[in-house]
Amino acid sequence: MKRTVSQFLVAASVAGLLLLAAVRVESARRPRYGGTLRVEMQAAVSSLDPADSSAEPSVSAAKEKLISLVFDRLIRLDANGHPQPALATSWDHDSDYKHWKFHLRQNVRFQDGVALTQDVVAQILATANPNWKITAAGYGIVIESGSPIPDLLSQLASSHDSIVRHAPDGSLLGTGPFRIAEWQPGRRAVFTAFDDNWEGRPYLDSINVQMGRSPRDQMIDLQVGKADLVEVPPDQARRAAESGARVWTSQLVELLAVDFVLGRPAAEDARLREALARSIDRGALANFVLQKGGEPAGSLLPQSLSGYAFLFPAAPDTARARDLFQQISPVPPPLVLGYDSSDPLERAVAERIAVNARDTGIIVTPKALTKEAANADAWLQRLRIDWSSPRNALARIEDAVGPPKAVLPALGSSPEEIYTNERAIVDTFRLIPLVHLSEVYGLSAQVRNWAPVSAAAGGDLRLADVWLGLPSGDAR
Amino acid sequence: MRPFYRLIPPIRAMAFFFLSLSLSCTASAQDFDRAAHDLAARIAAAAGSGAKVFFDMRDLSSLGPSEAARARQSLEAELRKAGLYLVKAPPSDAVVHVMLAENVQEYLWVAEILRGGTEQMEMVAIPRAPTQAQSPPAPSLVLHKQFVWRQSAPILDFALLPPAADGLPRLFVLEPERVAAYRFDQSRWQLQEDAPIQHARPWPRDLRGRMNPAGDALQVSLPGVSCSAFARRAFVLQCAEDPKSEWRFSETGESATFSSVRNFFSGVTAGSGLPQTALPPFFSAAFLKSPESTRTILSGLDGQALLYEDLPQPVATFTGWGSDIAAIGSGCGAAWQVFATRPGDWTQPDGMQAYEIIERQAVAVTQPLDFDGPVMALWPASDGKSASVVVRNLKTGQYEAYSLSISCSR
Repeated sequence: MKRTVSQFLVAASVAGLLLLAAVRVESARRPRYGGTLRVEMQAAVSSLDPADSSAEPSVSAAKEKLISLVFDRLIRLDANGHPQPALATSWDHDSDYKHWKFHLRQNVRFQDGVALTQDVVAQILATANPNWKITAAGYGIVIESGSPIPDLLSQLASSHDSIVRHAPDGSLLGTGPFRIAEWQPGRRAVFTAFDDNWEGRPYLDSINVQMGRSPRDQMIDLQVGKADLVEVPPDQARRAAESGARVWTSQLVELLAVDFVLGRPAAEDARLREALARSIDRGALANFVLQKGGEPAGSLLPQSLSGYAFLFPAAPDTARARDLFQQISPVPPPLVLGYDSSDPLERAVAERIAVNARDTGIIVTPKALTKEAANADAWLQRLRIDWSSPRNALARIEDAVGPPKAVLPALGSSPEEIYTNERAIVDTFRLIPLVHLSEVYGLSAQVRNWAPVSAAAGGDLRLADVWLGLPSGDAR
Repeated sequence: MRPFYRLIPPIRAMAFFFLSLSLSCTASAQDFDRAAHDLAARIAAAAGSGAKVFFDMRDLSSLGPSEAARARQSLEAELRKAGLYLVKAPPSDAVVHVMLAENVQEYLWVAEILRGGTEQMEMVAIPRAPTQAQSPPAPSLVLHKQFVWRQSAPILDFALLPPAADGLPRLFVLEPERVAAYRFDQSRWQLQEDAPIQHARPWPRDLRGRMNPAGDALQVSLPGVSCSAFARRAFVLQCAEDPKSEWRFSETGESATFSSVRNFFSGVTAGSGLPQTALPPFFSAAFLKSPESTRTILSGLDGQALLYEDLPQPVATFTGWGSDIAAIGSGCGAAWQVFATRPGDWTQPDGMQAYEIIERQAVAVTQPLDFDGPVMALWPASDGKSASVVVRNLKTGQYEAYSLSISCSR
């Protein structure tokens, strides 16, 4: 009988403690300090230095996320893409946008304790922007340019103009909420809280980042509690949500497109390119291949960014495609469509394109290739969409894959000018837009206050404002 | 065998635990009478009819003293009916220790019968029945929300002051970098003047602040910094580093030390009647006054609110509340009510509800009130009869100030 009493007491206490623990996770609303956020990503980022440019868009996107943990900029963008104070508290310019003055925030320190001064800022920005004349003034800095720079604020909000100091030992120092505690290029990074961050110490003690993790491994780690924040491929987002995972989907931040290789015989016939473009069923790609993890794209820029994307029809026109293809004589050889061998999503899309093309008589051969291989007629490309402005977004696409700038009119800022350029690119059929994709993240239950800024504001994950909901026992 | 008395500590711990979780249930008097009859019969069978029995009983349940006494009387009566003679001290034929405990579903009589070198355990469960406490009465008080002010800059606290010499009401708004003074003139609040807040160190990321008007003076408390001003003269804030950082909750003297680098109080309170021993850190506190004592509720960092009476050990735990609470003396109902926010985080809208503490249980006395965003600050107002609430509207991104009060009838 005694044993029964003891068992009862133990069982009741355990049940109660479990109940109590469950309650604890769900309760407090104010931020909790402490804990380590475990992040996994597929990209292997080799350097955090904003001055180092990376060729891979997916790596660049991942790098941008990490950069914002450590480095600040003079300006940040709000949810609507409007400039807001960051290290600069105010600014003004002359009437022709050639002369800008920026007032700097006071009492800001780098992560080694060195004060942020106008001299340091001027030097850093001058190195990153050799075409500007930048001088330190008593209140801050002055930026002068021989030509108007009306979008200077957007430029200063980009990671390119992050305020980065190189310590004598080569390490990188910023004024952001986290400092780099460990950096193993392409493999692992540890960021620790910077107590004297001008916006206040972040709630997390540290962030551990594992790079080079496959999407499958990331999802497994999330499910078994070994990760708090993982990337979810867009085509798996729906399944992950249905299985009970906590997923978050961003705005449309990527364009998946077919990019023809200039000079390849199979890609040089405009009729073939147009026939392929008109044969693709983008709705099926978005709904079935991507499991509604994307939106059909007839344009380069999403409707919500440009406002005119409806002018670019996304529906297939099989009859016209067949007609165009039949005009080509002799029949062209099979078109080799390369895709990233490490990306299952690209493979599925390439195979679907081949099926659509076959319906119009075009033979497309999907091929998993490394980017160094030059034997593809076209590539599947995933292009990052710069939400700071339609102009910047199109300029970035032009820079990445567009036709030689000589064939395009100078890119203006008005909607008509941007549309004209986009129309010119699309009508060459050298770049065939397929779908716009979102970023999807899987989150553990402990992650609280998850509120990344909008893509228009740069898509920063705002991990400095995240806290962990589980009792860590070390609230300080 | 383990002596029965050694079970007392775990039983006490367990009882306290369940006390924390499930105070809202009790059993009917008939249930206790039936259980007492059943247990008495078992004890009599073990001790032997006609035996002299030394009997004692300890109450480790959440029953109130009067209910526990009644239960004891019922059991004693049933033991006598069963033919036992109860003696006040050994020697006796048998010793019977009875514990009144409880778990989440039921109360539990546990009897240890010692006779002739053997011991026997008997248990009788008493199901909890819904009572007035479990099903609180329909809220009888009404919670009122009065909009005061909105702005895009964060609001840490605000204070509405009665008309000054010019006959105009005044509003002081505490922001991270300044205190702004407004006058209600021509049907709207107009900025009269403002004063910057000097501070050397960066503010904590979850910055909190408190503003206590007292007559013409204004006391401003921020993490590691305190400022003072005279509201009727030229509005100048005198700020100084204040590592001790003692914040006043209300005009009745309760105060606590606020961390200079975090977002919580370090746990030392003054004016609450509690010994200034090491209480756990907390986000917010509510002080319920009565002529006899002050009851204190601390909203802990783990999401639980702890009720203290006169001792440094909590006597009850409330779950399901958010981090911010405040008490006001409305004069309605039990005179004092506690405002409590909801659990969640800053991505979710918040709400507010008023509670009264009845027999160590939190009983909702108003319908909940919804906000369009998280509550960022909740403080008792200087009149002691209302509370100041700041909400960050998730739709507009603006900070909104409201005055919350309670009226006695619908």
